[in-house]
Amino acid sequence: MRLVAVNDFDEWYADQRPRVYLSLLALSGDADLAADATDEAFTRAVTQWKRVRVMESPGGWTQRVALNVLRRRLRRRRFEARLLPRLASTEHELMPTGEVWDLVRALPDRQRVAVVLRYVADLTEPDIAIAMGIARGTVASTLAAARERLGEVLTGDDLEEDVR
Amino acid sequence: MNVLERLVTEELTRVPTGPSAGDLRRRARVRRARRVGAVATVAVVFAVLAIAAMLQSPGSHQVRVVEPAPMTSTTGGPIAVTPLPLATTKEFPPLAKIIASLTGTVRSNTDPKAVVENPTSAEIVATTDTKAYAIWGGTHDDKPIYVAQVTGSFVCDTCPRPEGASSPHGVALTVWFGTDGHTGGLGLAQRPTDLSQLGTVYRLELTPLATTEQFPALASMAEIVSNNVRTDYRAQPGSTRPTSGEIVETTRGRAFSLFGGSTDNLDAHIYVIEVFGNFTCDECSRPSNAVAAPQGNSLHLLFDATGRGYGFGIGEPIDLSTLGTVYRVELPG
Repeated sequence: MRLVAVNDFDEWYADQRPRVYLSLLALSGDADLAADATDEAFTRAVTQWKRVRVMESPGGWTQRVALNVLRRRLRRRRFEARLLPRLASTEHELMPTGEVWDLVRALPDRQRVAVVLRYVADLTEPDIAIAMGIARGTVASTLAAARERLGEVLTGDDLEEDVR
Repeated sequence: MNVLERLVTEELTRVPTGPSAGDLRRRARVRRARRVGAVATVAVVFAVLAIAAMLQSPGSHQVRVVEPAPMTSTTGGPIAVTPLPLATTKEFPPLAKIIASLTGTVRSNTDPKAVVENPTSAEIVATTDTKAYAIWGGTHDDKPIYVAQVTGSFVCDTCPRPEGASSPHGVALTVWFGTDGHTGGLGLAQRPTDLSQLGTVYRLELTPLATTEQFPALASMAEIVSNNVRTDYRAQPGSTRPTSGEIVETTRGRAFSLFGGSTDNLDAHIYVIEVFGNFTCDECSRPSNAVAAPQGNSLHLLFDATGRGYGFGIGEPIDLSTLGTVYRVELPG
């Protein structure tokens, strides 16, 4: 995620929203949940825009809020499914579809989040550290482990130096 | 660009349009309005509860004051108008020590069931133990002593008594002092003694009147206390309402030992005002299974340094001299 000038919320929002949404979709596989969490995160961002815009990483903060909202709603959904199994939604196809996405979803939780934030949300390592609430060094080692697992999936023209 | 990034680029083209920035702002405005409304509601509820529970809510505290104890001087008239000269250190060198000791004795022996206002003045005379012997007995070595007498309603739970007898009580408390100010003894009588038979009688101010120099917010604090007593006063036949109280400047930390409460800012200066009577607080909070409303013989009101009331209590009289120098505060009518 390339940060744009954050003086204007509209411009920043238009730039950020698709990738935040797509990262949540990649992590949850549920389009409604991803859209819901994305909108909630950006609503909170605009509510506190004066504070958020001067943060070190407005994108990282918003992504972190979005991840937290997503986790809470997933937890609630699992809880409801346990309590009300008959009312739980039927299985649906995870989105986005495809072998590569399946490989990403098969990663351990932390690696999966790091990879999605790095390649889907397009966050830099410092921003990922803010979004995940972990040290930057941990982000680098987590991504390295994920790259090792995914191998060719992450092989490409820019791989030699994709650490920004 | 690696495989995953290429896929992401493809997927980004399929991302559905979300709400506009304007929609998000509207949503944020609604939330802010709801939050302000919620905060305002909570503030109003707390304010109502605080007012009802504390200081200025008419009808919130039902106060009953018992018939006052007789307050007569040795000449039979009210102590407040007794034309006696004021005692000074010239006649009574250890005056401060005598006042402190007498005040503590009075407070610890005042009958909590009958007191409406703690006595604020006393009579004192310089005499000898031989002269005093003729009235009360004791030693008669011609030793110079001071004798102070306070009228009110007193009960001495710690005084010696025959087994099975109730605590000695009386309307006149007499205390003997040595010339160094140390207490030599005390006695309770059913009627005051005419001290003039022992020497020249002087008036002793037990609790000097508080001034605005010492207590800048005195007027507003007295007004609050007066409102609290007056508006919630449930008059009984022959009863009188307390017209004065006691005030002391202290710290939150020192008051904490008596009243409990928050442990924040223990060094902060506060004021405590106490009035005496027989009070019942029908509207005060109480345990859900409590049958009777909280009641007691004194009200304690706590004020911060600006004179804003922040605490209220009802219970048995407390010796405010443990918190600092006590002054008398007149309550507006």
